[in-house]
Amino acid sequence: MGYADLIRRAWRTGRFAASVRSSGKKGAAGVRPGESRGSIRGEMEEIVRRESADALGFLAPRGEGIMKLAPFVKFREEKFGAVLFETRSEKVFTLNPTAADVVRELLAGASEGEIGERLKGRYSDPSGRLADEAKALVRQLRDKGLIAD
Amino acid sequence: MRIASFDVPLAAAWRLTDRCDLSCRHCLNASGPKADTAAELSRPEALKLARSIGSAQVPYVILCGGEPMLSPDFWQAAETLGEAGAWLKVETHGQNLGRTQAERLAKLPIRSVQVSLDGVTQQAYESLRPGASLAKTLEACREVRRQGMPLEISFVPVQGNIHEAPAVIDLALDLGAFRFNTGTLIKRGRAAAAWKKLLPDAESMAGLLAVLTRREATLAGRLELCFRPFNFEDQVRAERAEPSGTLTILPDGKVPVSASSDVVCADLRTQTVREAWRAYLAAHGKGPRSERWVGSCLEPATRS
Repeated sequence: MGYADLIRRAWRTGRFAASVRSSGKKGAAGVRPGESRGSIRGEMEEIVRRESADALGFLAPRGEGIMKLAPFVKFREEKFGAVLFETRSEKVFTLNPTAADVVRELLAGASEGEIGERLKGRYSDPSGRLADEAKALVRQLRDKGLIAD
Repeated sequence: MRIASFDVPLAAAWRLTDRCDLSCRHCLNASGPKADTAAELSRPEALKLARSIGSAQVPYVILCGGEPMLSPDFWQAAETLGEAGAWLKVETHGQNLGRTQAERLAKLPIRSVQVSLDGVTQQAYESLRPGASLAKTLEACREVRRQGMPLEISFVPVQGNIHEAPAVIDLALDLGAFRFNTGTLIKRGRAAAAWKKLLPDAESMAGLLAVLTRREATLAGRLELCFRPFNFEDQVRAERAEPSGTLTILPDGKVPVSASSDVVCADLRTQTVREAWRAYLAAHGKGPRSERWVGSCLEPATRS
């Protein structure tokens, strides 16, 4: 088994330890004498391309507006709703129960676009502005450096 | 929104110990090698308190002293608080903050490390901190930054160093600090005993205030100059109008009505954080205790 085959097999199986037996009599590193460095490099580049594509696929859902608290910011439930405390500037932002719900949904992984839908089950929305107001709050939180993508 | 609306404090300033290896002339706690530490919390008590602060979801805890890193409970308390989710600020003189300590600190959720830097020359620095090394303090600052932790500098202006204040601001910037904290000297502890020798004249203080005001704008976005309220009396009056959201905890677990008062309103040896917070808020209501508090801040007792 050549080096390229070994890498390919490792990629398919997830096993990256090559046994001595699998290298056979084709040299200490298991590389065929006639196999050029160029072809091995080609195989490696192919693997890197595949890994990159997989990594992007994994990261893509987080890239679409999934937010979290900015560094040094803490969220705490209170009787009146909640508080966001930016510990670095020592600024405190109080949230009413609806705003606290928006932040809770953000922290639960909702994207900016999903929050309105999630809140509709909990609040009556006769004016139909709930989703827009939730988005406006998210923008304010982002502008104040309290949440980050 | 009033501070009284909060169920528990927004922050705790925990004076872990009065133990210190320096005897700074301007220390407002009279901390030092000879400080009486017999009444301080035992390790089980300190760890119990750390867990209690954590379970109360206090989001931000300032560990101070004395020299907090000399407390035998420092690391365990800091790690317990960090595991509970609190952001930590450590206030230190930096004499014992080498690479090993900085690396260990960097594993915690450190909001900032505040280092006292009282001058840019060894002469001015040592005049306030006999036996201390400015070089060690500067190296501590650099190590904090090397480990990726946010750095704050604190500067107490006195007769022997006020002329170096502008240079300390520049140095703080060079060291990569994000904040420079200063304000007038407080007449407490050892500072009260040496008050006349320490207190700068009014003209020098006005000059410092002018420098801070002028440089605040030019340094915006690079170094935050934190100096308001500048006068201690203004700070006390502001706290009278609205109590601070920070609960101060003394080395023996007692809670004073303000950071600079000796009047105690709660005891965390026997009370929970929530109970102590309620007692603290009640102490700021109208009544004899409140008047006593303001009086004790404006005319503080000398303890040394």
